Amino acid sequence: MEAGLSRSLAPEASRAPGLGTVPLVGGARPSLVFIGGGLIALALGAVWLAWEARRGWPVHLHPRVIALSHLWLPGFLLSICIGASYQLMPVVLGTRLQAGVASLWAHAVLHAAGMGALVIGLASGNFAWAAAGGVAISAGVIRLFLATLRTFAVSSRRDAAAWSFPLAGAWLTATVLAGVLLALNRRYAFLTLSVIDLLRMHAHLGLAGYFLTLLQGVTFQLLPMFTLGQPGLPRWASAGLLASQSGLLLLAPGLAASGRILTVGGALLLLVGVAASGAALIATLRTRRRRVLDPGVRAFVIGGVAIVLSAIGGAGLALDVVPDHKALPFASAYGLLGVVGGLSLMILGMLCKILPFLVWMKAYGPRLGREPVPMATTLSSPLLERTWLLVHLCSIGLLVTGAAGEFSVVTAAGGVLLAFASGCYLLNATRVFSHLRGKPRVAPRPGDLPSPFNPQSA
Amino acid sequence: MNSSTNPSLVAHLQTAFGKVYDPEFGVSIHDLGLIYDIVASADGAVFITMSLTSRYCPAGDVILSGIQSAAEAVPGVSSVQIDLVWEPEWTPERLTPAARSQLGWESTGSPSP
Repeated sequence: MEAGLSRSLAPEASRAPGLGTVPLVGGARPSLVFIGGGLIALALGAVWLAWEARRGWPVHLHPRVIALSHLWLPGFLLSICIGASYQLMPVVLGTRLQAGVASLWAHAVLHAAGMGALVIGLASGNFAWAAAGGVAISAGVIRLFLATLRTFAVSSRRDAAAWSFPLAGAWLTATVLAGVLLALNRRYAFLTLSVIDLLRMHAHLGLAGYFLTLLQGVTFQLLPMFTLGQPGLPRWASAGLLASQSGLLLLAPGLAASGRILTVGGALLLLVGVAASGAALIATLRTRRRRVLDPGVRAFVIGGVAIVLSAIGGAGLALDVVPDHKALPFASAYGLLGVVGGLSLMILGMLCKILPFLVWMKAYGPRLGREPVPMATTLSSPLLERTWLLVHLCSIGLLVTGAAGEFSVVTAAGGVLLAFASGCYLLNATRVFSHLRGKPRVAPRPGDLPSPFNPQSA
Repeated sequence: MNSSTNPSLVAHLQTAFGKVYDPEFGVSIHDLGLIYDIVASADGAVFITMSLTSRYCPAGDVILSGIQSAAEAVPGVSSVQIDLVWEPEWTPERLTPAARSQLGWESTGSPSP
């Protein structure tokens, strides 16, 4: 303090040495590339979906259905989650990402190339291509997993949000490696277990192991952040994560080996885990100071409800409460409710918040305090977001009803509506991305604080 | 807070911080209650003590940089030093009535879900 200066700092105010802010990873560019790639996959998937709906759905496990589901899951949803994770992980773990930016770009290249080969290979029945694509995707996923483990190791945070990253990373690694084995098995036929059972295991490892685990953790970071609330019932959130992990450890071998006791136990534990996380989500929502929920947060919460319903459906399937002749359509409805209703709504809902924020940080963040800048929330179109959510919800109703009741016309209508909803979403995302164009960089000044936008001062 | 040998400069700084908005909430940094203390000396040296809504705030760097830029743009400021502190921890109780109203949260209690 300089002499002669009158200062009256609040007496309890104290500096916390070593605690600073976590800057954007690579200026958010790798994350935005992953997210952009995921949205391109959504666009292709939406067109494909509408086309399949027009010509009538192919049979269950048809190569085109498998290819489309891979375009939707690892192509669209996983790409977005990877992009968001690279940015969110250091924020949640309160430390820098333990990976160089070059490693993130390498992952992006591996993922894009791998996805192309995987989807083309699956659609055309060329399983050598599918396996090669899977190997490339796996190589990227392993890089992500190692970076996650290193970042987690140097972090001191150990709640559900923090644990969800390494746990989800482990399940994702198991998923992609199982996928490569399945693709190789189509060519060399070396696996002795039922391929259908292994496919079920592969799907559940990815859907519940990766996506659900990640959502069971990051929800309690993102929801308070976007609603100005606080994590509610944190022990329930931890219990929910623990129960679902225990359930997955039973479910995976149970599905692979058709073990009924393991499958039922795993499905019930997963249901308990989802219910506990749901209770914590509701408690978190009740603490919010931002009273009005925007479409993104609303979609996220509705997606959570769909996940609970889907988990109930999964437990019902495991317990054989569905008559045999209805099991297949019911399983299709369960999958559609979980993927299109639960995961897609939750992930797209959060992306409604994350994408404008990242774009704002790049386009306008360096200008904050220097000139008037728009707010991140104004980069999106509320009308397009509301339309997307409404049409997406209608499409879920039609798809699930059509699949469960084997009404092909209803399912086709649901597919068309889902494609339309995706179009609205993509239009809005394009509008957000357009803010990145033509914005001259702000030159750093000698007195600037360390910032990702002026790395020479960092 | 805000004792200083240069109260008029502090007032100008507060006005400037009222125009620096949190990108997500659209509420100014001042109305969010993130500025804990502003001290300005007679020669224009400014010391700001502030916090963020969360230790994990992803916009932290940008907000700090924005505060620095806004302070430097105020006439009469010769230098700016920012202390980022985590104690006392920021809570929503620090929101000004204007911010509470903007967010739909009345000061009398928490919202119903």
